Amino acid sequence: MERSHAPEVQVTEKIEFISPAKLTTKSGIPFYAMQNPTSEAVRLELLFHAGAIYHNPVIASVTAGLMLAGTSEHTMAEIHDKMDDLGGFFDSNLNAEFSVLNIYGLNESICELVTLIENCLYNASFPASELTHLLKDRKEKLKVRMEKVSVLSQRAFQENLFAGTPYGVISFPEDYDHIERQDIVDFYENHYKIGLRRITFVGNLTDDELSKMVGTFDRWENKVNTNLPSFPAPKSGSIHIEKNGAVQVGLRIGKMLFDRKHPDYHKMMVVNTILGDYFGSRLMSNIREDKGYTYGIGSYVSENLHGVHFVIATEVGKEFMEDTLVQTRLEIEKLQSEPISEAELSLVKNYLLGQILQSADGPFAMMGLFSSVEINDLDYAFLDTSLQTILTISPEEILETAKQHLDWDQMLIVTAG
Amino acid sequence: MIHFHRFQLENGLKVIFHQDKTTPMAVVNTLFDVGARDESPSQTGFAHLFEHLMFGGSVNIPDFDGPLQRAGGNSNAFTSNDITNYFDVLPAKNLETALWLESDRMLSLAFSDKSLETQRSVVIEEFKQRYLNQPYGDVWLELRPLAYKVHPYQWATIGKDISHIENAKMEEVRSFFEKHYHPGNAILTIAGNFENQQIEDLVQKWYGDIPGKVKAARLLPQEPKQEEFRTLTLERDVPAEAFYYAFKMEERKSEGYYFADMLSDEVGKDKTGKLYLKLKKELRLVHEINAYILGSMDHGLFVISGKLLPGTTFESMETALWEVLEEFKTQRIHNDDLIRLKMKMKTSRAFQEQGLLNRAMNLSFFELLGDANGINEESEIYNAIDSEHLRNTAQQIFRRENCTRMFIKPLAK
Repeated sequence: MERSHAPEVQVTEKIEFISPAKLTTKSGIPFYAMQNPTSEAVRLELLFHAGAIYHNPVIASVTAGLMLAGTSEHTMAEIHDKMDDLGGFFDSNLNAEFSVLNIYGLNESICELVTLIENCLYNASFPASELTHLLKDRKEKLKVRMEKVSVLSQRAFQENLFAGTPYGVISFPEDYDHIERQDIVDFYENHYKIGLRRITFVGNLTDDELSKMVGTFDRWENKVNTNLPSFPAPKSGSIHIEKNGAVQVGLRIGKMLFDRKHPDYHKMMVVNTILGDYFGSRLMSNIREDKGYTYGIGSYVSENLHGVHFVIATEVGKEFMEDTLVQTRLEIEKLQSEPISEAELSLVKNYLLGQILQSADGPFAMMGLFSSVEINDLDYAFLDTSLQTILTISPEEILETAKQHLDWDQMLIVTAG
Repeated sequence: MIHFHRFQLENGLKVIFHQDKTTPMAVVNTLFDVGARDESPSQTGFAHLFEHLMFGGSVNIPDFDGPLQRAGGNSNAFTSNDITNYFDVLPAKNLETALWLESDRMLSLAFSDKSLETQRSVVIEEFKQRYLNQPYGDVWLELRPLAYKVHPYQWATIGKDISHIENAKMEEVRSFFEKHYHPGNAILTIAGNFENQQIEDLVQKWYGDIPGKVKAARLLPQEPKQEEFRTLTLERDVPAEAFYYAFKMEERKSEGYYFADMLSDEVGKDKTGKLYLKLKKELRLVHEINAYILGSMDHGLFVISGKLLPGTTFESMETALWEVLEEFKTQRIHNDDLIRLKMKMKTSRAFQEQGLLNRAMNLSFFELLGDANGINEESEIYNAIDSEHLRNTAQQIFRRENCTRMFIKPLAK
């Protein structure tokens, strides 16, 4: 057995991206449906213009948390019992721009489940007692979160990078003491009832059942003014947040970037992967696998529509903080001055293509991929360009992209510990 | 129904193949029947340290991750108190790359000093990140030795003392490998769009010449029946009082495990469960309350944990908690609630079975329990549970003398 030679590897060159069917509600909200013929699992996702940048992050998060807290006819417990009867699950998550509500269920009962939940969402009454409880509970949870250096560094990074814009507003425990019920009701009226941006569905329904489900959402609208804030001059420099007794330091290093329509976007994604976005990345190889300073380090490009930024994130032993900064800077400068070897580049290319293949595997994954381009008003041509860039990018282009967009002097560096 | 084809090599390797014609990906999952419970009390944390070393190069291949990434794949692993599980996900046409890498590290490791030194340091940082530098991070380091007096579940997978990792020597690491990492101690599951014969041939090709060994007998000290309420209060730099009630429950292979699992779903139910309604909603004593089981192979723990709201006391919470638990012991849960639990399990199962990796991991795990087909039989077991089973289980579990309690108080400032 010849074990020292690797079996031959085949490169993924083509990936078929499957489009969902597009339907629309009466008011023109898109409803995308993807078939899932081999399973009973069903998911319906509602996307609202109700993220943290609108108004204030506490109001946005509390409103999302109370969407199924009751109607004039049903208490929260009754609603959840009914959902349980149908084997339904519900979750919500919030980012800067959107509030996302997910309904999970079984194909056999999904129509009934969606009717139930749509009705509860549309008639949400935000009972005062549920609001009071949620505010107190969230306040305590935030206090716990603020004990973590990862959270402290992330908050300070966001607050400073986006200073002066809604993206830079973070919440504090005392903010939860000053929320009025009317704030929540207003936010709901202005960002949910008339803020439904998109519906996506993965399941196995007939055309009739589908169009009936689309009709359920006919009374919702999408009229939110999503005008962009203007972003002030990017901030750089160093900030430290003191945390007594911490044995590790939370570290965030990053800068503003451009959105997906910028001509360098796809190249930048390759650069980001090489630097810090996979297990074999330069940062992981140096700071974890060579020096053992951390359990993990990574770099990311945020998924916001606007205020897209690049960030390196890690938690390192206190005694390793200085050298982690030195090594991180060295790794970026190396990317900007030494062309990547053929061996490393071909590895990264194959890796990225394999990951995209995986992210298109199965109806749920495929819908996720579709959603991410649709929300940016793009289509699958964007992914085809991405594949082409990965297949053809040269060492020189990588070096140039790193030079142009990863200038160390433009980085905002936040440490907490 | 999850179909599979099962075979065994002469060296003892058990293989499960799960065909899925719809996916372009393949999964290679390798479960080794070794976990933190198999460590010696003076060398804890070894199973987990070892998991890290498995990525540090094998006898014929200096680097594990690089070739897998070059084949478009990724890999990870986890260690529990019972098992160590490694998995690779990659484009199906490059399956052989994963088999080449996995079979070589089952054959033998590189055992390089550099790898040991680096991973020692990485694991120490992992220890800091997870257990020392998080609020409530050290709870399980303190709770386990209180709940288990003799069974090796008394230490967490990271180890009971980080000095065991700091002092780990190469010859000790080597002997850990010799004892636990061989075909007879592993279950290999492959999933993807392949044919039975193709998989049999490939597995024979890459794993057939790895020498077989006798599987070492597992002789663990048995935990004596707990007969007294145990309690510990710690002071830590945390913002809120936290409580943990850990009750002993039955082992994974027993019927009682399923009863306890379903009972934990009912007890821990968000929004509509009795604990939530009484302690969180009506009395406003807690801002968080959960119930869950640890799912261990040997006698496990049924845990109820949560955090107090400001201005409430452990005493008032405890009184209310036992009152609710008493209701589970005396009253049968309503038939509607039983049906709801089963409906939700059905949905959860449908989603779990969506993922190729999930299916492969679960097949390996059920094979370890005795039969991979258990994956298809489990829902029947849950469906047969009635309210009498749950009440009896509550009576067995929710007893003070079966309970280990921990309180965490904020440091006085």
